[in-house]
This record gives sequence, C-alpha cells and structure tokens, in this order.
Amino acid sequence: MNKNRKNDCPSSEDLSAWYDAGQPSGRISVHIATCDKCRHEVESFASIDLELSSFINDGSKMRTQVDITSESIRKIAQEQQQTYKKRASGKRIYLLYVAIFTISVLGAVMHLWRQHNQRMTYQDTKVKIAEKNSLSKEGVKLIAIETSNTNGMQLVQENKEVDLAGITQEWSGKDLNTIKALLISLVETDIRSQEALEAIKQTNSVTYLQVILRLNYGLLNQLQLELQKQGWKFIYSDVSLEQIGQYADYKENDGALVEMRFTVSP
Amino acid sequence: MEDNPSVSDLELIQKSLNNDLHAFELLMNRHVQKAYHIAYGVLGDNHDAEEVVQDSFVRIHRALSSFRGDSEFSTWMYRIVINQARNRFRWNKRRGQGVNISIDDTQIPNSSSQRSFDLPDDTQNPVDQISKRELHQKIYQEMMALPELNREALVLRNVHDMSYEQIAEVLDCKVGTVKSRIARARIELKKRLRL
Repeated sequence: MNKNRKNDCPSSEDLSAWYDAGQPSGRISVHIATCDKCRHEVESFASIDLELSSFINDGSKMRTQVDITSESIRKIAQEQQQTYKKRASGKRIYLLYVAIFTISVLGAVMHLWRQHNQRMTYQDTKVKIAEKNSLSKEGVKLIAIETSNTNGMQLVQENKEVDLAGITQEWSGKDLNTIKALLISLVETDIRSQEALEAIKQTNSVTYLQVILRLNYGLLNQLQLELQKQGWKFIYSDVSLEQIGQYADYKENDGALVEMRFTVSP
Repeated sequence: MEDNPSVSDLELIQKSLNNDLHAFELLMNRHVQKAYHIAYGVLGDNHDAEEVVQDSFVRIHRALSSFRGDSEFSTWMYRIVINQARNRFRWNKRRGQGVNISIDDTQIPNSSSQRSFDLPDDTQNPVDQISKRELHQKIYQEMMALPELNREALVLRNVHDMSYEQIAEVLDCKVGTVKSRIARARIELKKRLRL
C-alpha cells in the first residue's frame, strides 16, 4: 500500500536526521508508516550505515590499542629526549651568544675608548706638531698682513713666537686701530721686512690678518668674541668658532691648548 | 598500572602535564579505538590509519597544555585525529596513492606482533568471505570518491554513534551543516552502491 503523496514527503536530509535521532515519534514517523518510498529511503540509510560500520570495524585490522599507544609513547619519549638535547644544545648556543655579545660589547667599548683616546691623541699630536712647527707655547703669530698699499698678502714674519700673556686683556674694549697697533707691536721687534712694517704703519689700513694662535680654548674664545665685537669677520678658520665656544666652557681650566689658523678682516 | 575508570580524563591530563607519560598512555588507551576507526574511515587503510593515530597522539601530547577544557577531551582529540587524517588523505591523493584497500593485511588481534598473515575464519564460508571483501572494496572505493567533508561527517556518525552536536564540534561547523553533509553522503552512497 502506497499512500505516498510526493509533496508531503520529508526531505532526504530530514529523513536522514530522523533516522539518526533514533526514529522518534512525530510527523515523520507518522509519514513513514504510510509512505513506502520514504520507508525505503530510511532502510537504505540503515543498510549504508550497516555496511559502513562493517567496513570500519571489520576492515580495519587494528593492532592492539596497547601497541599503538606504546608506539606513540615511544615517539613522545624520543621527542622529549631530543627536546632535552636541543635545550641543552640551545643552552650552549645561548651561552655562545652571550659570550659573543659580551665580546662585542667589550669590543665596542674598547673601540669607543680608543676613538676617544685617538681624539685626544689627535689633539695632542696636533699640539705636538704645532709645538714643533710653529708655536711651542701659548702665543700668537702674525704671519701675514695685507694692506691697501701692498699687492696681496705680505709675509711679515716667519717662525716668530710671541708671548701672548695679557694680550687678550689688552685687546678688550680696544678699537680696530688699537688692535692693529698691538698686533704690529707684537711683530715689530722681530720683523724682518722693515719695508712691510713701514707699509703697515703708513697705510694704516689693514685689510686682512692671517694669524696662527696657540691658546687654550678659553682665551681663544675670548679673542674670537673680542674680534667679532670689534666688527672683524672670520673669513677662514681651521677650527670652527662654534667648537671653540663649546670647548671654552670646560676646557678653560685644564690648560689644553689648541692651534687655530684664521684669517680675519675688519 | 590498570586504568581506573573512576579517574577522569581531566585528572589524567593533569598528570600528563606533570610529565607523567604513563597517565598519558592510559588516557590514549581510552580513546585509541575510536580514534583509529575515525582515521580508518577517512583513509580506508590500516597502515595509514595507524600512523595517523600515532602522529595525532604525539601532537596531542605536545598541545595538551593548550587544552582549555571548553569541550570534551574526546571531541578535542578527534578534531586533531580527523585533521591529521584529512592531511594524510590529501597527501596520498597528491601522490596518487590511497586507492588500494588493505583488506588482506590481516593482523593478529590483541597481539603486539606487527607481522601480518591470514588466519582461517571459520565463522564464514569462503564465498561469504570473498563477497564481503568485494563489498568492502566497493564501499571503500565509493567512500573515497565522496566529497571530503561529507565523508568525514558520515564516518564520525558511524563511529560509536557520535551525535550531530559532537560531530559539529569536531568538524567545527554548525549542526545543520552536519545534518546536510551526512544526508548528502548517504544519498550519494545509496546511488553509487545501488541500494
């Protein structure tokens, strides 16, 4: 007897779920009781499940569970052992890294220390060279003066050391002509070219001064400020004026000397 | 040490986390059969299934500390097993393997021996045995031809009657999806097996 009315049949999905739910009573149960097609479909599901279970349970020839788990435990133990080994070697690698890092840091510190010393050494060397080649003590050396009545720079003095004691104090507050006079007086006694000196005296118009100074930073800074105050411009300086200013604050009292070559123009 | 059923999975997990490998072994022994059937259902090969289960156990041991207990341990575990089985299936497929059934690869049950050999089965006559093998071969072929997700859902359903809710948790999908995947797998198999 087939009282199946196609439109009333539940979907295969619903039949499958109904079958899996243990065939509870309800609309589908009532329907299946009267519908051969749906009943047949559910029966086919049951057959499939049966065959599949048989396939899984009979077909799978599992070794004993003890064998499988034992094998897994053996693998885990082996893995743990390897992990311990890795950790141990990891520890060694870590120590190696620490050693390398320490050595690198020490190397960097040493490098910085050397650089610092080199700077000091450079500065000292510079002073030494200055001592050898130009000035051996704090002082000033006027090496060239260009005047309006000479053609170009004129060498007025060579290898002449002049004691600068008190010179910056003397310059302080002085006008351009006074400073010029002071500079001239500095070189006057040793000037070889009397003609040049005469020219300076006569023209009274210094246009450039090329000077080597060996002073401590404090005095140099003072001189620099003084010249600038007097309206002199630094056309050339082999030590930056900013650097002199920076060093002046804390180098003033330690007696470190710096040699500076500069050209100034009123 | 015998497994004491009064000791819960969670207690064994706790012990395992304290590096008690024996506790972990007991825990795995509780679930190995189901795990194996799932792997076999998905792969249809004893050797592959065994390897998948073993690999899964190793992975489970590694990841045990990440088990938060939000779901049943078994659900969490089967998820790992089915993922491993899925990976193996895909790998086999890429390599062009996984089309041979190892029905003849009979081993002695309850034995630690790994050697396999045929045993006379006096419960069935030879004709029955052959037809059963043929049927299994056919089911295997059709099962492996099913879409992966549908096959997995059907296998989980047939292994120890897992509920739709459990299957949804293992496959990380909705119950409605499980329902339709199982139905589709059955309809497809029914068609293919001409049942």
